[in-house]
Amino acid sequence: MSEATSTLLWRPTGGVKLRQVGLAAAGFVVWLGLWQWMTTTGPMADTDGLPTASQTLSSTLELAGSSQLWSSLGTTLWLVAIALAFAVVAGIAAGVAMGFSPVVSALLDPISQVLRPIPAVVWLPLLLMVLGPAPELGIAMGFLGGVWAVLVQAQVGVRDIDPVILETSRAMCLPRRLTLSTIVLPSAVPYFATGIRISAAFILMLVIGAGILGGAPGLGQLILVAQQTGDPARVFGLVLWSGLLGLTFNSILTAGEALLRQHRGGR
Amino acid sequence: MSLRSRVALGLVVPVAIVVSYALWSANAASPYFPPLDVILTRFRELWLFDLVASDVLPSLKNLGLGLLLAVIAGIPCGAILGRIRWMGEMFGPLLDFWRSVPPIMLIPPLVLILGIEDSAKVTIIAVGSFFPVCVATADGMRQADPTLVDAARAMRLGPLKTMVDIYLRAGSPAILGGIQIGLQAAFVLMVASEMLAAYRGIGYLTMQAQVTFDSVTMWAGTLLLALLGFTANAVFVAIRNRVLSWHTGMRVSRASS
Amino acid sequence: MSDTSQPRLALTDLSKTYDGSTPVLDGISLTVGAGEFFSIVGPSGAGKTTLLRCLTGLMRPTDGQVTLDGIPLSEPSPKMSLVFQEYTRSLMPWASIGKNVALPLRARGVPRAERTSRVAKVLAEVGLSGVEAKYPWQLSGGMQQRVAIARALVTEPEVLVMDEPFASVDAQTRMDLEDLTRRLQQDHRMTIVLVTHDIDEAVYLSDRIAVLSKNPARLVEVVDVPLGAERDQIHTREVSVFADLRGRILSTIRDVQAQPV
Repeated sequence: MSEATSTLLWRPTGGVKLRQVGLAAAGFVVWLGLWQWMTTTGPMADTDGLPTASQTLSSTLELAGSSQLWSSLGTTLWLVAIALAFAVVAGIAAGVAMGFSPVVSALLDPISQVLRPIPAVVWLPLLLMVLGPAPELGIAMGFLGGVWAVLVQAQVGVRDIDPVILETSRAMCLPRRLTLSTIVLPSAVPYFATGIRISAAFILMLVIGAGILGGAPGLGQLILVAQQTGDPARVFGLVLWSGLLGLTFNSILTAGEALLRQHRGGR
Repeated sequence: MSLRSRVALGLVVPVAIVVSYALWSANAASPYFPPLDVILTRFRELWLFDLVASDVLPSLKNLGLGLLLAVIAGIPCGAILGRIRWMGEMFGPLLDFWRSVPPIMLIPPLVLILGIEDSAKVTIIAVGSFFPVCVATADGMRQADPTLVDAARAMRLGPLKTMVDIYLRAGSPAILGGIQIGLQAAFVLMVASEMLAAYRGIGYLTMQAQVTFDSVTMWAGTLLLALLGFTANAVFVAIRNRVLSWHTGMRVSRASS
Repeated sequence: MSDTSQPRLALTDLSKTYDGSTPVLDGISLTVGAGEFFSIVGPSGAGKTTLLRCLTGLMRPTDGQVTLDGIPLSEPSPKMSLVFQEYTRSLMPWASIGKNVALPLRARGVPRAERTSRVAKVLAEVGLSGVEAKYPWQLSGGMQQRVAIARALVTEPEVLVMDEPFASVDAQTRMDLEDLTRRLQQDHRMTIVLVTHDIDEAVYLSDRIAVLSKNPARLVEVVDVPLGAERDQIHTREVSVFADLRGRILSTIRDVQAQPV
């Protein structure tokens, strides 16, 4: 659950320059060229299940015109949004309570420490048995995988508040509820933002994973069907689409988080 | 709050969950939620230790081998991308792209090409955990202090020694963070690839049990997977804390001064 | 004891311009004799660090050249060692003191047994015997800077270049380190080039002092310090030569700063 889960390596300094865009494009061209060569005349020609780069690209473009892809993307994002909403509400509520109250912390910390490192994929058979290959499967998986990042960040955010500010509010005899709403929550907002960004990246992966492993609707289900019908070019095309989706998704979240932190002058 | 009362409070929730599940499942006779003692009996029958050699150890071997390959390949690749500017600018975006592909998404295409043998599983795990290791290493190259790099140059430390003794050591907190994410990805890929396409392994057995409505075996498998996931992470964290003891020590001493 | 007829280090017409901007260094020429304690002072922001990077071979000048014992310097020389201001940043926090000090020896392929004995010897010389197993962040700032000095000395360099080495320690430690440096220079007959913004320190330690101007840095004058070989924190600072020199350099730097850019 580190920062590295969704920040990008490519951080052009001093504005995007032509040279950088050119080199980035060249990187993709080198990769596609190598792939094309490997699968046509190179050592991996005629490998079963491995389409050529050109077959994959044309399948990727073809998918762009298919309503199936767009409705699947829509479904995936919709499930991500619902799971994220649950994760944010539950994660912030529990995290703030744990950060603010030693009793709640002592109650919930051990169980959170035990459950947090367990990858959510472990719960899939159980959830699949109870929920079936339904949208709820994607939501539940997403929630279980995404709630921890928000919870941890909320907890840290509340604990990291400058003790002097808290002392001041104690000295002013502010009631705890007022301290919470006027001091604790606002100063923890940048942490919430970080938690949401990390959590959303996890949730996207898990919603898609629930589709592949359990047939929950969305992009994952689409690739599962393509694999079962033995259409390698379509499978690879969908992988490229998932990368595109993930990259766009993470870029927007990272930019959103940066904007919020800048706006608040946060750390 | 005293340690004793914290331990007592910490036990409240887990005990409450276990007790209420035991009480409720004993009477409910729900097909999904078998009684606790039945699950534990099955757990003992399956995993202590009848199927360990045939289904647990091979999976763990795939996990370890795949992650090892990812680390062996990921650290040099990341070092090159992080240190050679044009390489980073050229292949950084490509790497960002591939890292954005959900790891489980890699399973269908790789199964199509490689099949479902152990070697295929190792490859799937290696590919999926390569990206976080590589990206974290490239990122870690930025952690070396320019003053220290100057000092190393002034001592005429060769390029290889500078890489190993300065850049990789300075980046080790980031790199180990990347390996930890890689381990998570590797674990997910181990379980998921068994669930999706395999003929043995804990993931396979657990998923098969779900398909055949053998909820007791499913629960026993889930329990073992959760245990393994937790343990894998705990072992890694213990190793990491040992390797990074200098880092923690330094942070503590700087925070207190 | 300075012997300027045979310069150990010579800067000839050294200039540095970062791409496209105004020059930082402009035609600096000076020589440092073997065994001399030479300081470079100037107003802050005068490009002292750039000068230091050029004269150690860490950076290529745009124009002019640096020679060490008559040989042009294009990269750091094995005869030269460096001590930086930021000891917390120039030492490796992940390595013990012993390993930190041994690093330049490892770079030269010195065998392990010899490394250990040389490290112990040099640590004793800076007054830090037996700290090999500790980590830098477990020591005080002054002790860390002693470690950095030990690391510079372990290769027995002919020239020691120091970049504001005492700027980040408290006053008492600073005096101790100044005396240590002076003593080490005498013991090893080393040439020392000290870059500093502290005129008192420069006068107290040096045989000669170069004064730089700002924007771009030019050599204003080179001042001789006739204070003899033996220096003492209390008495040396009380003699009139010390006060005169200090006043003269200070007013030179003030004049330089007052000039329109």
